[in-house]
Amino acid sequence: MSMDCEYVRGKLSSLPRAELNPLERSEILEHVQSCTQCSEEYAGYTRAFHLVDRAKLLDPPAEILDGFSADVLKRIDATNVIGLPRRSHRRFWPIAAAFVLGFLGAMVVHVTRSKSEPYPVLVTAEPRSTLRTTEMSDAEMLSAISCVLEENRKTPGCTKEIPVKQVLLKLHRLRVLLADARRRSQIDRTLVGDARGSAEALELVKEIQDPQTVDALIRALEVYESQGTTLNANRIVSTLASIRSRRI
Amino acid sequence: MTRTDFEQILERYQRPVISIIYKMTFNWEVARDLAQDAFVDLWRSRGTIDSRRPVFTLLYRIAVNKAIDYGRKIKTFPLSDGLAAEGDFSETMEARELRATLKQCAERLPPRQRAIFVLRDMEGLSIDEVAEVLGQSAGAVRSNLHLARQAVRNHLVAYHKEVVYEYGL
Repeated sequence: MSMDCEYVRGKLSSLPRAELNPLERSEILEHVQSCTQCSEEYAGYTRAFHLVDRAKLLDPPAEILDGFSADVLKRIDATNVIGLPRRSHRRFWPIAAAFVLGFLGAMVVHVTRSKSEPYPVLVTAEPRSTLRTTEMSDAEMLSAISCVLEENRKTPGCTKEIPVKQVLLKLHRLRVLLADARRRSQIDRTLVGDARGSAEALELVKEIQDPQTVDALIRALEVYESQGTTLNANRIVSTLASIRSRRI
Repeated sequence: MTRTDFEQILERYQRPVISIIYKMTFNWEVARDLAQDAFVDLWRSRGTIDSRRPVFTLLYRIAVNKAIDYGRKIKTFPLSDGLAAEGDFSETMEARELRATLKQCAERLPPRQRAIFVLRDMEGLSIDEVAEVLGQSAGAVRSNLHLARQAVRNHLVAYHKEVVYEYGL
């Protein structure tokens, strides 16, 4: 039975890899031997496969493999806290979510209160009576953080200096949670059938949409701390404002 | 997955994982870094691994996604800087020419087709394994593979004609 050229050409790329059943293969080969155009087409594939088969020459060089395993294991050891198995994550996530929600709750309460008591320094976000965390924009988040910092200043015993270490710890924690949430959501998207982990991770990412701002703030505060610069509310709030102005 | 299991997987699959990423990015340093990320991600997701499926399919999937994301990030998936970055590694003339030609072929393929082509035709995975790695049906893999092979073939035929014309061979 003669086959038409279009059909044969659709199968030619499978011929050199033995991806066709024996009967089809022999029919196509028979056609190729009797048809000049299909024969030329097939020769092109043969040449292409000859080249591709030599790709094994591109083995990783020794320099690339050197210390590869050791580096991976080192990284795993360094991130051991975050890298708990999923069963432990299931205990970890509610705690993490509670922490983030608690932190954001404090911000929300404070932003709400700021309606009647506007801050004198660079707190420019519109106070809202209800602030849903999933809708929090960069500016709102920054303002919320600045409100928290401002509140610290007003707390008795902290009237002159802000407990920067505490704020930094809080921000570091936030950063870890964000990084972990993002990473997990990426990994989870690649996994089969674990929608729950993915949904939880995505919720966290949604709650705080701007890890770069947290990073920038941490970096700025760390610089101040390392320089031994006197830290007060104004300086930190103006730092926030400058981060905000660069980002908005 | 225990740490010992992981260490065995690391030993067994580091070479193919680096190799797959390299054949998608054509940069050994990038391939090394992304392969490390892939193994770290595998370790982090060990609690959710379905033990009924071979672990390499998940590992390869993470690796391929890393390579594709990298391509998107540099926004030049045509791999513009790959060759320049290779100067430090000792390489035979044959391997150098082969790499240059394969790179030109790979540049003609969209990322997913490139992944299919690399996994099936360069790494020798079966169609079903490629489908499992990429989360596609075997039919979709077959049809993309055909398109990829066609593009590679067409490029090589055109390249060959050019060489013949230029050098009067």
